[in-house]
Amino acid sequence: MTSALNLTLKIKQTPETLAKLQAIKAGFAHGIQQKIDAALRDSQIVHYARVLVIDDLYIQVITEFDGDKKAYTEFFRAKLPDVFATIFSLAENPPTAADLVDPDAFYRFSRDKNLSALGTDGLTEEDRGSAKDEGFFFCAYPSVLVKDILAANPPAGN
Amino acid sequence: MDKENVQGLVLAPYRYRRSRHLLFTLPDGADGRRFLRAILPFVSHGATDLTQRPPWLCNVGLTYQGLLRLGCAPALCAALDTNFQEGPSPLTMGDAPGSASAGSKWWDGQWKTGEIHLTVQIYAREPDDLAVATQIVLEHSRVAHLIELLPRRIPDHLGSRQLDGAALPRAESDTAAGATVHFGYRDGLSQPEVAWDLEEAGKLDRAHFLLGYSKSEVSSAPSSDPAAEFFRDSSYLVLRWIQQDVAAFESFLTTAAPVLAPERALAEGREYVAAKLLGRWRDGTPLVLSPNRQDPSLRSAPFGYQEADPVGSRCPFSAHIRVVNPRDQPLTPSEVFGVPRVLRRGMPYGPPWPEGQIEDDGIDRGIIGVFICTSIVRQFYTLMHWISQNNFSPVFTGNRSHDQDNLFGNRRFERASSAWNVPRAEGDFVLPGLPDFIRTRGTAFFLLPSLRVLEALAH
Repeated sequence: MTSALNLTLKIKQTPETLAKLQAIKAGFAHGIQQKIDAALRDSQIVHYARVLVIDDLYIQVITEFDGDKKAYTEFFRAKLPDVFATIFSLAENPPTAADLVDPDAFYRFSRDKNLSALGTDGLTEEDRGSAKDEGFFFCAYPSVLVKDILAANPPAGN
Repeated sequence: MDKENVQGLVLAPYRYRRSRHLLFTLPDGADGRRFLRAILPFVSHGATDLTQRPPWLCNVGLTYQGLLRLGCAPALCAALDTNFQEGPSPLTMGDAPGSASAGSKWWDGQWKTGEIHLTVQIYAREPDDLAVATQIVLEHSRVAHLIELLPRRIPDHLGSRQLDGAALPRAESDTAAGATVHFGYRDGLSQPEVAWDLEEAGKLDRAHFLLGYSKSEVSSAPSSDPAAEFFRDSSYLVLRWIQQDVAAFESFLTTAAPVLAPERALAEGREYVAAKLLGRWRDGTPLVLSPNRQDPSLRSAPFGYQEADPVGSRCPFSAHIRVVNPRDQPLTPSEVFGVPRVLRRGMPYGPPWPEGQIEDDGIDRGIIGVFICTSIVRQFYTLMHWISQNNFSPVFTGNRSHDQDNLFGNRRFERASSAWNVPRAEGDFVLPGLPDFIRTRGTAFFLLPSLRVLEALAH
C-alpha cells in the first residue's frame, strides 16, 4: 500500500517561536533538506516529501511512502530525530524531549497531528479497524513501489 | 524478576493437548471485578509447579476497553501501547478489504472486536479436564453476569461455538521437540530463548516480553513510572484465529510437484514443494542445512542464511520461516526495529487431515495463534507487514519486492504478487498463482496483566 502523511502543526504565535521559524526557513536549504534527502533516498520507500509553512501559522510535513504508516512512523523518528525535533519545537503543545525519544509517544503525537483529506477511503469501519478514515487519496499506480521505479529508471551514471 | 508476578503462559509453553480461548464482554465494572476475584486463585503464574502437570491451567487477558471497564485509572491506561489501545488494524496486518480475511468478516460477522473485554485462556491435559475448567470459569462468569462472546456462527465438527484448540495426535515414541500442525509441519522448533532475570549472551532481553523494563534498545509502553511500575511483569497477548485451507494446500503440493521437481516421484516431490513453501521439510529439517532430503537429526540445529544460502537456492527468500525470522540476512535501512521476535503459545484446532484425502471435507481446521510481546508495532505488526509484502530485505530485488510469505500471505493484498518464486542455481522457478492457504477469522489484543495488577483490578 502507499501511505500518505499530512502532518500538520499549529505554530505557537510567540515572538520567540516566530523568530525561530524565520531562522529555520532561512537555513532549511543549508543542512536540513540535505539530511532529509539522504535519509529518504537511502530508505527506498519514500516517493515524495516536502515541508510547507502556511502564513507562519501552520507547518506541514507531507510525504507519500510505501508500506503501512504504523509500521514506518518509527523510521522517520529514528532516521531524522533532530529534524523532527526542530519542526515539533515550533508547535503549540509540542512533544517533550522524552516523547521524542519514545517510539510510542512519537507515533501517538504524529497520529494526532495527521490531517485526513477530504472525502473517504471507501472502507467500512470493520475493514479499517483502528485506523481512521484518512479521506480520498488518489494514486495513479498503487501497485508500484519506489524500488520498482528505481529499478526501471536507474539514476544517470548507473 | 519476581516470577510469581508473571502469568505462567508468558514464561513457558504449557504443552497440553487441549485449549479453549473464552471471550467475554463485561457489562458492569463491579461484576467484572467480582469475576476477577473468583478466578484469580486459578490463574497460573511463574511459581505454579508445571512438573506436577496440573489437569488444567488458565490465564486472563484484558483489552483496553476491559481495563477501563474494570476501573483501571485512565491515566495509567493511557500510558499503555498506543496500538494496543487502538485495537487490531486489519489493513496493517494484511487482512485486505474484499478478501475472506477482511475485518468485516471477523468473528463470522456476529459482533465487533471492540466488544471483547476479557479472555480466559484455558489449557488442559485431556477433554474431560477442559470440561471441568470450562464449567468452573463459566459458572463464575454467570454469577458475575459476564456475556460470553461465541466466535463461531456455525458450530465446529464437535458442536462447539467456542474457540477450541486440539493438539494433533502424536505417537508415544515421539518425544522429539515440537509438534505437528495442520499442513503437516513440525512446529515449535524455534522459540526464542529469554533471559528472564539477568542478561545472558545469546538470549533475548526480557524487555521483549515483559513490560516495565523498557530501554532505548528495546522500548515498550508504558516506558516511565508510575505506569511502568504498575504494569511491570505484564505482557501484550495477540490472539489470532487463523483458518487453514488444508485441501488447497494438499492440492497445490500435488499440482506443483511434477513442475518444480519432475525428477522426483510424486510423493517425494510433494514433500519437496512443502519444504520450499515453509523453509523446513515437514519433519522439521531446515532446508538450509539439508536442501535435498529430510534429516531429523538436524531439526534443532542452529543455522543462518548469509553464508550458507545468500541467493536463496536452498531456502527460498519467501519461505515462511525465512520471512518471519530472517536471522542474519540483511534488512533494508527502513527496517529500524530489526528482526522481531514473539513468543508463540498457540494451538492447532480441528481434527487431523486424513492421510491420502484429496477432497475438502468441509471441516474447519487451523491454528489459534497466541503471540506474546511488549510492542505491538515493533514485534507483531512488523511480522504481519513482512508476511504481506516481502519488501524488508535487499535480497528481494526486482519483482521479488512484491512477493509474499508463501504460506501466510493474503493474495488480495494491494501490490502483492501471487507468483511463487523459487530461486535455483539453474534459473529461478516461477509458478503463477499461489492460492490463499489461510484466512483470518478474528484478531484481538489483550494485556496479560501481572498478578499484582490482577489483584489491584479485582479489589
